[in-house]
Amino acid sequence: MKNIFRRLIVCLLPVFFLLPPVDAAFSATMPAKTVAQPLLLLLFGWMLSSTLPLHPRASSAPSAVIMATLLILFWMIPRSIDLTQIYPSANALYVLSLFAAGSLLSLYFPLLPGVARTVYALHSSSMIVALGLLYAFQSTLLCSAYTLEDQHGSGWMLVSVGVFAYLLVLASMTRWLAQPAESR
Amino acid sequence: MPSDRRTAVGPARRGLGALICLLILGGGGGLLYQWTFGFSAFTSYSYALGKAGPLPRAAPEISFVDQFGDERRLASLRGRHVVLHVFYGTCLNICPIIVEELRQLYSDLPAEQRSKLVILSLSVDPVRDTAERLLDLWREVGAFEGWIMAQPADDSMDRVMREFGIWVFAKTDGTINHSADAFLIDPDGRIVRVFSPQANTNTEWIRGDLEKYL
Repeated sequence: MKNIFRRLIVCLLPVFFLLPPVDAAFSATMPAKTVAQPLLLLLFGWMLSSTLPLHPRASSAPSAVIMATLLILFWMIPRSIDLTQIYPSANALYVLSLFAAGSLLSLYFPLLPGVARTVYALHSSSMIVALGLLYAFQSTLLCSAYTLEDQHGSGWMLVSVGVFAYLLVLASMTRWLAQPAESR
Repeated sequence: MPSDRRTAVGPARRGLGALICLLILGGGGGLLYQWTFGFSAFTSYSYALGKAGPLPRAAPEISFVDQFGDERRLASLRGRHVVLHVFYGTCLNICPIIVEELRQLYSDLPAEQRSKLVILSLSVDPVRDTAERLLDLWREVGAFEGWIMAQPADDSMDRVMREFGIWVFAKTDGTINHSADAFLIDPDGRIVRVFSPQANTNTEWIRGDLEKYL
């Protein structure tokens, strides 16, 4: 009973993000829309998978991770962000697809081989830093719904998130390498 | 992650996995390719511009009503260079900056060069930017003979914007998001250059290159 309640709560989280006051709060600034909201959606999506009785197959892991990555990439494009500001249906798709991407990553990412996981994590965090630098230094407006100051703020926030993620991956990689070979 | 979640992978399943993987990669990559106009346009502005076609290209035929209420055609300006940009009078964001930078540029030009150039400020807000309002704005920027403040005649706004490659979206709060690009149309009626404003560059985003054409 407790588990069902937990699942229900997690499943309703995307609806929470679509509630007009919550959506308005996230859409008000670019850092909230392009950094905070996607991170929270991925995190809640990740949490959802732990409540579901699924048994993912390792053979599906690359496809699932690629699909999740493509979904995230799509919503990193400024034109896609504009779309969420114009059409409520696109905004709903944004919320649901990032939530789903979080779930897919949670279920399948751990099933990838260690080297693939490390390369993926290092590459993703580097890309976040690169995107952040682009936003931070671009002198033309990329997302029509926000101001240039907003864009620069969003860029620096992405840089911080990317650097933090990169260091985290390096730390876990070092810890893994420090273990005796037979226990890896 | 516990290792008991992993299941043994046979060659057939691995092959099927690889095929699905390629299909997802191909389909997703194709979608991203379409969405970004061949990975070349990542913003709404650049997509609209890319979709309108490569430069140089013929400027679309447009009719507009100027600040004096007279209906005119873009073709009537042939023989002079035209810098066309869009704006709206109640904008508190980029429009006043662009108009001020163009005013500065235009007033700095030597009389001979100025006589070869028309600035056409096209309003994307025909409801609020009436001819009277445009006349006031025109006076505010210096009442230059070669500066036209206008709004598209009839219902051609959508077509004109699409054919030029200008992205416009009217929000429910009354503000209008739009491309800030300025289009240089040569005396033969071809769009030969698109200038994109850069923050904190004063008029440099347009001045140097524009003077080469005049």
